[in-house]
Amino acid sequence: MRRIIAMALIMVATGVAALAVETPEIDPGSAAGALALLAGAALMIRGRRRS
Amino acid sequence: MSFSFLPLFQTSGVYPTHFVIRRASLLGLLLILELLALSVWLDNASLSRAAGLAWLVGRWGAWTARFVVVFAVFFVIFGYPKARNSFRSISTLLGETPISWSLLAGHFCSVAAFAGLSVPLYASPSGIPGNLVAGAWLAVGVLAVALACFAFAPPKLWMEAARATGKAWIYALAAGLSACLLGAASRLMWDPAAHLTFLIVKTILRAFVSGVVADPSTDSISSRGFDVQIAAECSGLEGIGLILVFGATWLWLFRREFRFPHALLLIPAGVAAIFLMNALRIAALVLIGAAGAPGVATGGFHSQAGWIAFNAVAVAFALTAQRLPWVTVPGRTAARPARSTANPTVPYLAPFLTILVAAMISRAASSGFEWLYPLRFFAAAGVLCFYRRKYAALDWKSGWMAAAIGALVFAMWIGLDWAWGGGANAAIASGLAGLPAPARAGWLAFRTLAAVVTVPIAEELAFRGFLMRRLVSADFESVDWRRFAFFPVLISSVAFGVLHGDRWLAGTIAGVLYAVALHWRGRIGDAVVAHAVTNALLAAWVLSSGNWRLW
Repeated sequence: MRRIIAMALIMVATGVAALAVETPEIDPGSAAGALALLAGAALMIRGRRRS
Repeated sequence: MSFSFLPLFQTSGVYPTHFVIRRASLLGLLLILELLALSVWLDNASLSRAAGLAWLVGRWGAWTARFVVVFAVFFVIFGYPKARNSFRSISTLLGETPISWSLLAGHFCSVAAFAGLSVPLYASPSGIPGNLVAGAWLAVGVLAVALACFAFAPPKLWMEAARATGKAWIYALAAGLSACLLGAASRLMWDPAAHLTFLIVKTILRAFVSGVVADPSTDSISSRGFDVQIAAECSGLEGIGLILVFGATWLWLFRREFRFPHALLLIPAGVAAIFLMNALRIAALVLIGAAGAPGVATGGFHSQAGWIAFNAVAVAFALTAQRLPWVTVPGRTAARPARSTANPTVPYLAPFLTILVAAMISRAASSGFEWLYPLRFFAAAGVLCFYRRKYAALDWKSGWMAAAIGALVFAMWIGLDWAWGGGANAAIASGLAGLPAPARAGWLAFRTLAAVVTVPIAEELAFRGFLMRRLVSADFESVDWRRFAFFPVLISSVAFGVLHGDRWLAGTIAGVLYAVALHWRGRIGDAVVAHAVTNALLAAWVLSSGNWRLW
């Protein structure tokens, strides 16, 4: 559970940072998919520890 | 079917602070959804010519919202570990204290008044009436937030939580102010960072192609008639900000596994990597444009490459932090399993993540019409095939109820689309019109196959098979498929909805209904079939009506 909360916090913090600056470098329209990908990858990386 | 609305986030017993987490999550969800709705509806730019209090709202409104979000995130990060024991007793009290529906009703009345005041404020924001309206608007907004907070927990518990978290609010305040100040100050670095990026891009391009023309006075680079100006906003500082947030949060959250100060070196390494990746992104953009695909360069590639670079660096950061012995404390990080299938998370998430990666690549290679869409089908099919033995253990049977739920979701989807409307997806129509007949038929076939076969399997494995059960227990594979817990269903459905962009509401409702399909007989097959029926009916609707915006 703590790991899930940790992942959620990381993604929220990253998402806020991504949407806080209106620049074309990082497209806000693609944020949901990109952050979902990062969250999933992070969960898979951390998921290894319990195997 | 065993319904239980109380044991949210249960593991082996009642999670010690689950009522705190439940109430805080509900409050956060409510306020975030309202903030999102407001940010879409209200445009602070319309207050730029206002005076007095209305001007302050327009000038500082967005910054205040950012500060509040950063403060809340860091308050939880700093406060939760410190006050965990106190939260257990608060959680017990919260379990005995029902949500105050009268205060919640007051909150919604305040939100309605807030929305009502927003109309005159954003329409005619100047003069004394404007100041009065702005003052009332702010007061009602504060009242709405306070009523929501007290609806989910009485004031005395808020006071107790504030005492238990000690100085966490000071750290969160400092973090919030620092984030806002650094965000504003970083604009001073845009120009020099953009010029440095220009120099790196010029060096990279001249190493690979001839005839590169570079103008340092405007930071412009052109090759074979394709001209790019590296604007201040493209300096790479946003990527640096993202990696700073990600890296610092990662190191802090898993700090017990790392050796300090060694692990701190990962931060500048990540910053350097993302800065170079931004230069590579611009160099690749110039090369793609110069190669005769300016639409791809300034279209899909421009919008996707930034996220691809950030995700690559962030994942590399996490993997390095996990595996580099020099930065880790011996014995605190587990060894890698002999085979990737030993990790129970991978078979559930890999197909969905593969689709996301394929989507980013195919969008990056497009200039509107996603001609490479079949890549999504083949990539997901390959991963599903790779893990087929793992999936053989799951129950793929399904019944009539699944098909009925799928049809119901389709009707809901069409109904909401009709109610909300939206623009046509001209890119698909024009893209298909430009293809020869066999290519058009092939594209439509794989688009439909992906919608009906690979997407339902991959998304149901990820959202209902993994996330929903993972929110119940860390050992998600041991969670009974028939066990229904309200909050995991809600969170996994909202996450599912958010990934459907502007159709987030329809996606969230669909997620809840697919969860119901799964819980009905405890079979993943029912959720997959319900999802597949919805997508098949949508595909038939799109193909017969030409309403491409539903794709």
